[in-house]
Amino acid sequence: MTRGVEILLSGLSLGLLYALIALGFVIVFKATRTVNFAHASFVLFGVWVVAQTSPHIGFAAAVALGLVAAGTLGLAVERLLLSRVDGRKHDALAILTIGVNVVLTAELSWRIGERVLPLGAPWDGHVVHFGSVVLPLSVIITIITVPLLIAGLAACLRHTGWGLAMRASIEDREGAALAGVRLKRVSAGAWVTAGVLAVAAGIGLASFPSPGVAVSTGTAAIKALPAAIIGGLDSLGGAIVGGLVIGIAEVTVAEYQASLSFLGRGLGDVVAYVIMICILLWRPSGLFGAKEVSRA
Amino acid sequence: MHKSRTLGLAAVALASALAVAGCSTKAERAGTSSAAPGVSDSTIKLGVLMDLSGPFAGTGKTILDASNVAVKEINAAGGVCDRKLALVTRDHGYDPQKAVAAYDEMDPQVLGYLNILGTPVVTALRDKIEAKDELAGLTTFASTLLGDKHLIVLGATYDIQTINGLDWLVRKGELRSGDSVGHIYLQGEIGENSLRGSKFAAGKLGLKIVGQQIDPTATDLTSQVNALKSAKVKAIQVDSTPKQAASVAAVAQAAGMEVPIMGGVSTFATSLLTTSAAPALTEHYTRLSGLGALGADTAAARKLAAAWTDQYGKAPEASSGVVHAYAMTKLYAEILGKTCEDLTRPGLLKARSAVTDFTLPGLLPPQDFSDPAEPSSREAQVLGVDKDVFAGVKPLGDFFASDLAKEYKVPSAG
Repeated sequence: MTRGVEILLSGLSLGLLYALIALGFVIVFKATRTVNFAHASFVLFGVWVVAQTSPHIGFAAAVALGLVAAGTLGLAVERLLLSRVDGRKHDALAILTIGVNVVLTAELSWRIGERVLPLGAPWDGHVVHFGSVVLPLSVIITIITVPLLIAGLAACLRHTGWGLAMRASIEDREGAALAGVRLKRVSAGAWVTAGVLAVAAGIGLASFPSPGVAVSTGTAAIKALPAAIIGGLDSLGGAIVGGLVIGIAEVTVAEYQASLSFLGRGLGDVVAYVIMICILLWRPSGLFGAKEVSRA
Repeated sequence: MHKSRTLGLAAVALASALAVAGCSTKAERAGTSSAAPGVSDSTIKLGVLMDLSGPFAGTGKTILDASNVAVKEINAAGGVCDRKLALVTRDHGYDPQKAVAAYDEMDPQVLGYLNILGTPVVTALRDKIEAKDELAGLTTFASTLLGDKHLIVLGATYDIQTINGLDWLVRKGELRSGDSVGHIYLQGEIGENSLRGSKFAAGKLGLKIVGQQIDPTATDLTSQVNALKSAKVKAIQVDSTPKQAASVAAVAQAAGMEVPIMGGVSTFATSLLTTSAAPALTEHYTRLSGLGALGADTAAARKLAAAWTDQYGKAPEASSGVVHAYAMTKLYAEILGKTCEDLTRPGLLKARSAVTDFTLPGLLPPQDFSDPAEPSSREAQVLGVDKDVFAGVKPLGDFFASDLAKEYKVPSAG
């Protein structure tokens, strides 16, 4: 029973972090119809900035700087690279993001090397006891703060001009442009938001009980892509559900992998993709994705 | 015109004859077959197949850097068989297909392979290495790779290291017959090889092993540590990535588990001492290694640490990786030195078996390579964490081989 609660809460926490990353994928996709394959390197870049600056300016200021840096990176990628390509060529844009990911990951891998960089978070090293259940404090903080972040994002989309513009541009790109929506600004806003969400998630992934930021932090973030696809890639709610499904499944499979060894080694690594394939076979547009309608 | 052409032809013929005579003289002097690849009058070229761009790029670079420190030392001391050593390096990015292509391209240029990183890569290349009668040093301690005269596994294997570690904990009074020991281990070669050792030792010492298998990408090991706490384990053996081992130590301490944590050879990285896991590692964690540490207070360790600092500035992330690659290069030079009259691939294989007492005092216990099916050593050393020593770990005693480790039979080799 105790183990079950621990597994569920750990899975929930990991799932919420995956959901944050998946939301970054979804927001960019909704705004530009492009899958941002550089998103995992955004996560790594943001937490690397936090880890590098935290010893000098303190954790809170470092987080603020990391958020600004990743948002700026998202903006720079959109303004300097993607905006120069025809926005209707989604495949070309996606391939461009793969290039950005390769360059950024190589540079960060070179800078980080084999090192583990501490984040310096105040909750590092702390655990919380609920009776016999023992959980890292970071898990509790994640479970409380990530839903608040997501609610804030949803409110922005619903109640701000940018949110309205984005929803309009998704509904009918040309119509929105004719109505005065500045599509470039919508797109830039989406990339900045994705960068900010990436850092928030990265801080969770690199927090205790993980000792800090390593190159593998970016690898862990890649698992959020199946979460976004499971949800439907253009559904914010779907990204959250997809993240939770993947997070809880991953922790559960890791826990019971000895009993699941008949399915082969490394099931924890591939379970996200197995779930994604099963769901796509059942619902090709994902759980909450808009169905494409085409006339023969 | 006609005369000058005749003179030209004569000059070419003379030059060719001299060149042939010169080559013959060199070949006779060296006593080598002219077909031996990688061997010239002045140089012996050895291959290094590393991951320099993939998931273990950091490790690959460390190995390459440490090999270069040793090569520089060897060449400064006159080289081997009156020749300088030279490394031919190729990056495989931890991709067996790339590794096969790199091997095919570099193979005609080298006499043998000083170091190959990555079990999948070794698996992909084994048949080729065997078919060409080559000798290849490996960066692994897996006893499952013993038994092949073409491969060098340097030092005590994972299973033997673990046996020595548990034996040490019992001798120190940290464990008693009837106690439970948690073993958190990576799926795959390292973890399962070590688990074989812990099960053997547990059977002999009256301990009970509570296993927790993990995969390399697992970041939160709270659940595993909590399971071990519920099982009331008195010690934890960890065979994981350094980041995971740090996580285990930190979570265990935060959860109030005051038990010793014994890590396998690949569970420590120097930068962990800057993280929040540092106090837990310093207090509870020790590491087993078949190799010495750069932080040891021995002349050899100090010399290597100084050479490393001179060339690369700061302490390496993996002290054991540096010592292993350095020792492997010195060992390869020793093997070459035993076959100066026959610098061929079969000659190298023969010479390998003639190395029965290779040692680097203070860094590496005596190694015997006469029987490829046996580990070259059954000795290991317990290392403790100390942020004030070079690269963060120092020996807590001498190298030792427990009676259990001597008695243990390694898995039948392939």
